[in-house]
Amino acid sequence: MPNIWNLTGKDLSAATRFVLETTPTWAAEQRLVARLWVTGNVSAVRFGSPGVVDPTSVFAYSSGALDLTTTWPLQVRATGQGDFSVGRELNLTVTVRGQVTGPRSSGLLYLSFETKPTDYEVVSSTGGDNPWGLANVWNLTGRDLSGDETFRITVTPRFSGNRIPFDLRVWSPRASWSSVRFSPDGTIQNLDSVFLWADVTVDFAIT
Amino acid sequence: MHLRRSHLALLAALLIVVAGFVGYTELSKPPEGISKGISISTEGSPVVGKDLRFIITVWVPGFTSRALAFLSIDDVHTFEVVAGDIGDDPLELAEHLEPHREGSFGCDSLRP
Repeated sequence: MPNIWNLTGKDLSAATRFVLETTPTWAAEQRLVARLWVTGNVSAVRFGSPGVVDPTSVFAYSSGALDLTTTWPLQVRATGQGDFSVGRELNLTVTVRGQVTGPRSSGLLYLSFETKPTDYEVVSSTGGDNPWGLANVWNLTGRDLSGDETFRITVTPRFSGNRIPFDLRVWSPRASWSSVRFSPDGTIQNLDSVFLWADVTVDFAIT
Repeated sequence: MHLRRSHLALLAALLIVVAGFVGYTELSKPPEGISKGISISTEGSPVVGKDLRFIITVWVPGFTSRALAFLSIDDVHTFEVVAGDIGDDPLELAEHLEPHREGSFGCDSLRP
């Protein structure tokens, strides 16, 4: 596990530095906690989730924390025009702005509109030029996103409520485009095959 | 005269003790900005897709564990570990966890 170091027998009278080289993969406000802990038996150490030590299963000697906010490099917004009612047509305008750089920018870039089929049905879209032939996916590869780029999609609400959500994702395939699979309802089936540059949930009140 | 010599010897001994203490304290002192215990800092950009380095500094005077001792940083699931070294895991604690061999550890003592 890359986030655990063995310090058994190590003299910590001198300040010692441990380094973890990473790439953020999700935008979030989070508190990272580092712990120095001792155990009499490795197999007695429990983990709440992979790599997260259950502090009640060890003797915690010392700890330190860091509050960190990670952000998406792209800003994605959506506005709706039309009839916000079940069975009627709703025109969505999606705006993408920002810049994708760094070691993970593979070159291919896509935007997808994803929702439960019970919430919205895609009627049509503009510029859905993508190898999957899906109306809810746009090819952003090579586009200049430093200004606002807009994309339009028409949907029909299927369910009423105060907050009927859909997701807008901008992503790059980690390997070839064909490694990304979509389910019949147009959502990415294997999210681990993409690197996300933005993931925004938008919800509208539907009557 | 005898009394003076013993005073001088006492003074010299005291000076040696003080010098030794000061020397020990200076050697134990970490670089500026490092506090006792564990601290986490970052270098780089906390933007998705960019390089971000976590630096965990541990300074616990008097801690040399004969039991099994580990340092861990929790909840890094929103980060991909990208560096190349394989960590020091002689007890193969990682065997108890999910396979995740892509990753690295680095360790530098800050004492000159």
